[in-house]
Amino acid sequence: MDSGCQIASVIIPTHNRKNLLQGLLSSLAQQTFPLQQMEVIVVADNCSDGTIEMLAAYNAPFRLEFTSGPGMGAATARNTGALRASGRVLIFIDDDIDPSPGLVEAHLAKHTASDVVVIGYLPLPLEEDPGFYRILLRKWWEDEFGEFLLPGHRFSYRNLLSGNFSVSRERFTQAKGFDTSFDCREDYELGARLLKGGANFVFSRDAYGYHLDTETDLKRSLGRKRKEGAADVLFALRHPDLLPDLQISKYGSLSGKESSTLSHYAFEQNKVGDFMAGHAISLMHMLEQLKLRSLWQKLSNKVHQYWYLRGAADALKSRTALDELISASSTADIKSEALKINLKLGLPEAERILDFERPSAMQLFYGDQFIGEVKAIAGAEDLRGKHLRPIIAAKFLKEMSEALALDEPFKTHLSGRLTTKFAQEK
Amino acid sequence: MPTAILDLDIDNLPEAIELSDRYDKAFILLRQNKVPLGKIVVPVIDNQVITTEILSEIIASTGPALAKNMVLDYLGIDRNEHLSQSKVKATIAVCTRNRTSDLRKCIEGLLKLPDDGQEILIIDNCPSNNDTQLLVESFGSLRYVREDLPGLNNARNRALKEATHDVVAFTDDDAIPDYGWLRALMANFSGTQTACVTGLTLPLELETEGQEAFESYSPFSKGFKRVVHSMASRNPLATGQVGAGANMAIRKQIVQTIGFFDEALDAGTLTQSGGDHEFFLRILTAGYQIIYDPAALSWHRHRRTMEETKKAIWGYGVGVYAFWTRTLIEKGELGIIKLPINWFFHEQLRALIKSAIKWPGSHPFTLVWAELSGCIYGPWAYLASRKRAHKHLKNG
Repeated sequence: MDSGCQIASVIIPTHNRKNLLQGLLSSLAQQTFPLQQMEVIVVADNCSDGTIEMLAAYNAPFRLEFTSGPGMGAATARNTGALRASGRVLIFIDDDIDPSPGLVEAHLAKHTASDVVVIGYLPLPLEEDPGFYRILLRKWWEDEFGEFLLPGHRFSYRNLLSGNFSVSRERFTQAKGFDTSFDCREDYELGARLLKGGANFVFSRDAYGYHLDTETDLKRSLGRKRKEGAADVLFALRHPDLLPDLQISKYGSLSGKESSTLSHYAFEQNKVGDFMAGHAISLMHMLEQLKLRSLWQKLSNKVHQYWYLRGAADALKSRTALDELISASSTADIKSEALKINLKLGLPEAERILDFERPSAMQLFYGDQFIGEVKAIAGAEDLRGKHLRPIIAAKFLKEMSEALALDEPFKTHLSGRLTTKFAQEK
Repeated sequence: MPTAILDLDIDNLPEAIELSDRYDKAFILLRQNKVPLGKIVVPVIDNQVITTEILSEIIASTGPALAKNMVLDYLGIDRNEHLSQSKVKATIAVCTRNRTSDLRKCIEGLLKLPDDGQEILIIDNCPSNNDTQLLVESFGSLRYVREDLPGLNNARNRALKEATHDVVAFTDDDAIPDYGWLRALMANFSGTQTACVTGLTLPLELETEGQEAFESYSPFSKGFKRVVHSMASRNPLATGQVGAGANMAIRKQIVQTIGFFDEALDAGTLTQSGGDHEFFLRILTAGYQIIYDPAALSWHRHRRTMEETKKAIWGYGVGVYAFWTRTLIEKGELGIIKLPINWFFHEQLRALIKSAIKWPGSHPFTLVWAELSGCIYGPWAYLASRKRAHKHLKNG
């Protein structure tokens, strides 16, 4: 199959997961989206398990391209795939995802403008009797997606998950793709640049694929945490304005006693720290045996924080360097002027103003009555018209009802009178 | 004297409600556009309730909800979304045993629900005659399934296995679901984290001393606010406030992770109750959510005689301790130990002393004592019941 220009390019970076990849390809062959309008580009990164041979022999009902390289990392692999893509929309899928039949179609359906970035849903399959770590991992993961579904959700750079997302090729090329100096958090970093460039993040539940990750356990998670600590240092250098949103900002020498103790061990006494962290894991196993959930969780948080700081120490070497990084970032220019909005103009007009001005913060009034302030959030998208009503409903019910009761007595029926009376009594 | 049950819409309050002279109180459910907002209990004077005289009670009970609705209306946000049809279909399951007159009313209520393609399954648990079967067949459109292993949890498990649809909504055979019951339950299943939804259960009648005592001692209602329960929001081992099996819906798939209901627990076994709360505990400790939504309203006929009520309260005591025993010995949940200690020293002991000295407003001593003695029997009941359940399994 060969046609010059496809609509959708599915890009898959992979490393030694031949069987999962084969499953992924056969799920892609079942897509509801016309297969002649999509291409699949697999970038095999340092594979030694027969992935290349499998791909060479694979008889795909869509255009399948593959390339290989030696240990380049996922960011480079994705960029390599994007360079070879001809589609209008690039869909990035990780090799441990099993896409639903409607995934490609659902991604494409949301690409109504070139500034759209679609984040797909990655549910975890049910597990029989998972341990504490997997239970909490799953809960955290699903809670994240739950947030995306809230009507007033302001998307953040952290909402870009590289396992299942799509972006127009134009946008991706403009942004120069992933920053390959990151070996983790590269998705957050791309998310930050895309959002700053005015991209419109949307979530699609219909674009779902099961995340067949059975390998992540406590040990891997701690290893990953260390990498994240190092990556956040780089992140803070690239995006000083986002530092307040990074975990690392909480561990300066002026931070609380507990954070300070952790960073002392991570930076200055890491032999002792590693020893204690190792024993903490044995203690966690014991707590799990006794099903002492909340103690386990507290200890788990501590150990994760420790390894995160160890990662930061790998990159920074000293606590003075950490303090310097934090103080340098705190002087960075953060745009946070609140736009005043008077709701008496009518909600549609207020929404139009928000869509036009795109402020990072706003103050809401109803006539002379102050309703509330929505603060700027580091790393979150600027406010849009669609955020207004859900934000009022979620945060300012009381203030809004008091303002309405003073202004528009619902005199016609009893519940209006009751409501007004209630609000005034308050 | 008995209490009249009234169901009023706040936007259409009549000026006065005439009542029979046998009532001295009225239990009033207040709704707005079919959704329960609050309840009040007011005196009946001269055989009537005059609404303008109870406005301050109405405001105290529903004010915040009314104010919220006013804002939602102003914002143009649909506050009746939960009354529309959900994408997920349901199987309704009624587990019953030899109670055809209650069951008939329950079925009649179920047949009045809006038709969203739900299936109705009647599980006849170890019946002593074929009355239930004949009754069910007389309605035509229901599915009758006979489960010969005794015990409510066996019946519930059978319902989960027999159900055609993804969610199974359970109602007791002595309850009558409200028109919006099923839709309100189902509307909460949009996220994959939600394994179970429970609803608001109110008394169908308060005609006898026994029913009044039950409603005052152990009401099913968990209030008029929707609550999302998860291990992040509460101790996942303490599930008494999450809801009850008389009004709950379960995503069938969850049994793949947490297993079925425990056959050694609940009605029809030595443990009397506790099967629902033990199941809720497993849902929460596995990291899933249970949503309590008062829009899912059902009316429950409490037991009429004081003797029956006493037995029910005793049974709750047995059931709670039985499921705690199970959780300790089968799941190794050491944290469960602090629950009976807290319960005894913070609530039960105080209630016992108050009732013994007849403190104003205290519960009848017989009920408090019944619950306590049930608690003492609970652990032994569980051990014996488990032995029996294993035997059934072997012979079965």
